[in-house]
Amino acid sequence: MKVRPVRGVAAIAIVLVTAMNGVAAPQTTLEFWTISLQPFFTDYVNGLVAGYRRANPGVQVKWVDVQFQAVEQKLLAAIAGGVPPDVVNLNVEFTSRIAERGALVDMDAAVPAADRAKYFEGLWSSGRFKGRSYGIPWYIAPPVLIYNGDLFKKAGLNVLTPPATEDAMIEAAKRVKDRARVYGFMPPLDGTRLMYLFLENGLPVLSANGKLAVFNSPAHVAYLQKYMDLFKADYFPDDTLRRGFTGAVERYSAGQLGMLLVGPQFLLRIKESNPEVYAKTFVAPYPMGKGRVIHAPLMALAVPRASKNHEEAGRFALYVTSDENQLAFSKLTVIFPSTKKAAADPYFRQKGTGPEWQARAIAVGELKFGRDLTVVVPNQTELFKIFREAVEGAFFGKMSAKAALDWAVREWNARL
Amino acid sequence: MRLSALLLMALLTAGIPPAWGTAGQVVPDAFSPTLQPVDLLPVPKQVQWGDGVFAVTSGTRIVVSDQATAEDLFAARELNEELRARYRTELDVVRERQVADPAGHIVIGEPTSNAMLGRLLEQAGISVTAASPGPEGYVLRVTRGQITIAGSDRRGTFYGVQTLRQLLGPAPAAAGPQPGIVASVRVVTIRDRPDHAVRAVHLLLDGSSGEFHSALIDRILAPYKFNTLIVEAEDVQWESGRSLWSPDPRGATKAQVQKLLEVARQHHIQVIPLIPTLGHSEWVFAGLRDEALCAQVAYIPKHLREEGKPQMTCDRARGVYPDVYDPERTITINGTPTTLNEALILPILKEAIDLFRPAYVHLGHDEVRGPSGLRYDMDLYLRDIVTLSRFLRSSEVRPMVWGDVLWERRTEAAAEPLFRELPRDLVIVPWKYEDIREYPELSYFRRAGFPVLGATWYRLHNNYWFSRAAKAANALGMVRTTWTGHFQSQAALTRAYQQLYTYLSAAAYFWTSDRPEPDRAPREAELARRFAEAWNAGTRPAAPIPGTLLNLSSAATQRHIDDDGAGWLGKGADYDLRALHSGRQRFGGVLFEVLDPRRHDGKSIVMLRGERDVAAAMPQRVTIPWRGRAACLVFLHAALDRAVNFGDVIGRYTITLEGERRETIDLRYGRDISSWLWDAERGIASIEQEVAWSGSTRAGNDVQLQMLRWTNPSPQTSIQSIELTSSGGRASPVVFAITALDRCP
Repeated sequence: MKVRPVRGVAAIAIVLVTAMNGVAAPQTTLEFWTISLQPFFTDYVNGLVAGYRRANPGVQVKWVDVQFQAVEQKLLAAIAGGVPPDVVNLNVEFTSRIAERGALVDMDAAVPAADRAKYFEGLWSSGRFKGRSYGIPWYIAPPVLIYNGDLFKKAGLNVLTPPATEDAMIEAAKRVKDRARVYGFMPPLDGTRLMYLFLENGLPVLSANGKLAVFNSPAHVAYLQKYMDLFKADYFPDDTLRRGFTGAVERYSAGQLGMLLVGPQFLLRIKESNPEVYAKTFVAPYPMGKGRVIHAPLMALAVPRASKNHEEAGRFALYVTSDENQLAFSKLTVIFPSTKKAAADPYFRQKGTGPEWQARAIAVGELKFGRDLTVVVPNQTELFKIFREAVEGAFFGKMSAKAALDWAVREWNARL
Repeated sequence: MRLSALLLMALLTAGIPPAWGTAGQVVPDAFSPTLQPVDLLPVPKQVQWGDGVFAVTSGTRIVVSDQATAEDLFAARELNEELRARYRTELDVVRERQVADPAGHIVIGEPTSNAMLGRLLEQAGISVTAASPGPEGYVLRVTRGQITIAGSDRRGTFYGVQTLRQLLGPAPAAAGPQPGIVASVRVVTIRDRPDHAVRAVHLLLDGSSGEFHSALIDRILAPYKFNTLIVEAEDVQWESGRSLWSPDPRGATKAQVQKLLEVARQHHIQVIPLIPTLGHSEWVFAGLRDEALCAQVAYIPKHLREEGKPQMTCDRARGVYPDVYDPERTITINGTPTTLNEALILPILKEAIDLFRPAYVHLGHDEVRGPSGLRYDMDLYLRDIVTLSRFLRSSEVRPMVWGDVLWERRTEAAAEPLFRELPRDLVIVPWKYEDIREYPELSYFRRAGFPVLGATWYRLHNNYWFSRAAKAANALGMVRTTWTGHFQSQAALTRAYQQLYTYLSAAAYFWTSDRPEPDRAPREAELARRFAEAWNAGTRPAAPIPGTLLNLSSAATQRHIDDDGAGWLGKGADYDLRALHSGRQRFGGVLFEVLDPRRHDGKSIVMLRGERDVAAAMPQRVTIPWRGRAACLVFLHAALDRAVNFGDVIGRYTITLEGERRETIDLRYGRDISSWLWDAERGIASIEQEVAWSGSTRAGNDVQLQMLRWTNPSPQTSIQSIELTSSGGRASPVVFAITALDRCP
């Protein structure tokens, strides 16, 4: 084990290692939180844990799997209660929000440069808060278009020529609703996901210096209005804004939705929920917007400052995100590693049959457009709530599209 | 006589107008009680105002029927409590046979049982029957000579009294000194009835329920005419199922529940227990004695279980549990095969029925999802409702469930044969918490033959539109939900106050669904003030209090008006506080002097150092060299931004008293001070927070200043200085004015 001091870092900073074959401190128990990996990846995570224990005698790892919706609240409660996990899986939005509270270890300071260099720079810097990174990138999953071949046929659509653009997807969704009598899609409009759609369409959220909100231009308004018109005409269901991708996957799995825009890892859930629907499922590239960029959500591993095992926790996070372990994980579902070496593995260029292989091949092609587009701003909780309320206000008839975006921009600008 | 009053008198005697001294301005009315206009909430159906007032004197009697029961007398007691709290007086309650002439008195009851009341109504040409105004309806008639409250039924009388409580005002000053007059009521005739039969608040029971929820009923819910509580009761100290499960010890005891039930009964409020089954069943997993059992009862789709992938995290120490259980899965308890429903759920339902004696039991069943977003079997979901409903029916209790699953998965549900077996007296409660105009699920469930209740949260338009839609759909009524977290009921007052004061707007729309129009409804700051006033039920002094308006000109560091991008936030005129007028302003009865930057070297406020660009160059601490005596100091202030955490100490005020004694006030964010911008996430987060002034920026942002009152523990000791200090974060404090009061109001 190689431990070296990191110059200029406060006492809370941790020192990590570059090798995994060291001798661990005796009788250390690490608590490792993941998000919604049970029951699909139970064996994989148990294997990871067992591997680490073998290589690090005396270190115990306790694995806790938390549901996505609960993880932020549970984490804050655990930190406040003095029983934080040592390593926790977070997305970029959660990471920046918790980092703002000063509750996470600065990974730029903690991880040696040689180790940082193993990760894609773009992923390492995703979600930097005040110029610092607080999570070690784990995996990304660029979204794909998943669609129900039977419903396409019922709607008179060609299964072999799926919509390639956002406008074509909207037209297909209308055909499915009009002819097959089920909803064609549930566009990703819940929470703050309209921000991603703006960015994917070349419509900025912030000014170049980050000091002004600019998402109320006529182009932004027209974009929002397009979806409001679809909603008014009942081309997507009213729980779209409330339940987001969870509701969409559930509806798709029940055979009640024509198309699904999610990460390819959700294919596994569809397969488990309803093999019949899975058998009718096709996969196509995500219909890209005018911005030629795709929001590819990044999962990261963070270390709470309140952990008593910073050093060991960092070592474990590097182990979980190592080339070998990420590659093994990527073979179980359609996700992609955050390390350059693992991503270069020939496995990702192999061909196979079935929707998952289809999805893998498509997603590989999308990686060059993929970025985590989460907008990182101070006071994120309040700003995001304002944005969400503006979008809901527009869709649910409280305000016009222009009034809603003007209001949100005004509120952001007073706070930025 | 105090020094300040002597000084003022000397100035006035000399014919010299009071001047702005270097230290401050002595004024005779630094505090002066302000009268709030009568603004009835809920808005009654018909109101006809007249001229003049009815004077409540010490000789006024509350006259009840000769047959009045304890229930009838309770309404009279409520009126007396209001008079005692606000005017330090109490009226005699007498029976009609004890009063020869109703003149000068308050006659209450139902005309069928109170002959005097019947005669008074007849003389006035007013008809009140069981059918008109109707159930829970009343007529309140105030003339100069007497007050009559006639209910269509007992509840109607009770609500008439609640309306009268809001109408009570102080004795009219214009009438000159009138010995014996303690309060007055403006002449009016009100004819009123509710739009919804069920007007409910949903609460989470916990160890504070006995006291806190009883006070909530007495001071807020009943006065604002709620008539139902739906109480989450999973954490009550149930005795059932103890061989496999035990309740969280922080839950309410049965004795506390009994007390709550008694208080609710007195206030004409029915209580419906809610035992969350299937959805939100954390309480089940958390209480299981054996963690292995937790994994056994966790719902896993059948094929995954067969594939040997049953592992689910059950971690009591971290509070991490599976999403939902399988009610029918066979488990073994003490060597006997059973199911979770048989061993735990049904016995607790039985125990809840025995304790609450309710007409309904709410079974939860919301947000029922499998692990990692997998679908829960619809067949199993429906079968569980049918099973539990049959069990309730055996005790003549009607079932109730949340409506989200049956709405969002309606196509699947309707396709299941079991859907037809759902009892049609099952009350379905669809919930939607956003400001939504349309609520199509109401008519969907009505068409399917179910009674419905609409469930809202704290948002104004949500309550307005949903209540109107429910009325149009002939719904049973409305429920205002409360989501403050388990075991946080009382803490909500100081951490999630928005969820409480917005009960008032829900109450308004549940009673009269279309008024007030949302743009005319009281703003949240006003709701918060009304709630706090009712909650604290205190008296305010009637006479002005002298004091000193401190001169901050020598300490000012910045201006609140920004014409050139260098003032206030540094974002120009659209985002400054020009809406706050300079000069003397009275907020909440306290007079403040807000400096005019044009007359004070371009400065008007004490901005302290903080992370925001504009505050970076400001001093971290500023001392105000005011010397004088004060019983209270009142600070008009706000934070420049929002603190990261609620409760963060963002600065402090240190008062140095003669003899170098120091008193420190920590500024806890969200409680003592808050952002100048309306908090879009929390609203007014604490009842301790007193919004003094609210307005808008030119861009249209809702903005506000708060008022912090500090009581001097040694009012006879002279204050030497006041030091204002910032902790230096984004939420740095800004002081706009300070007023010293000779007495605390």
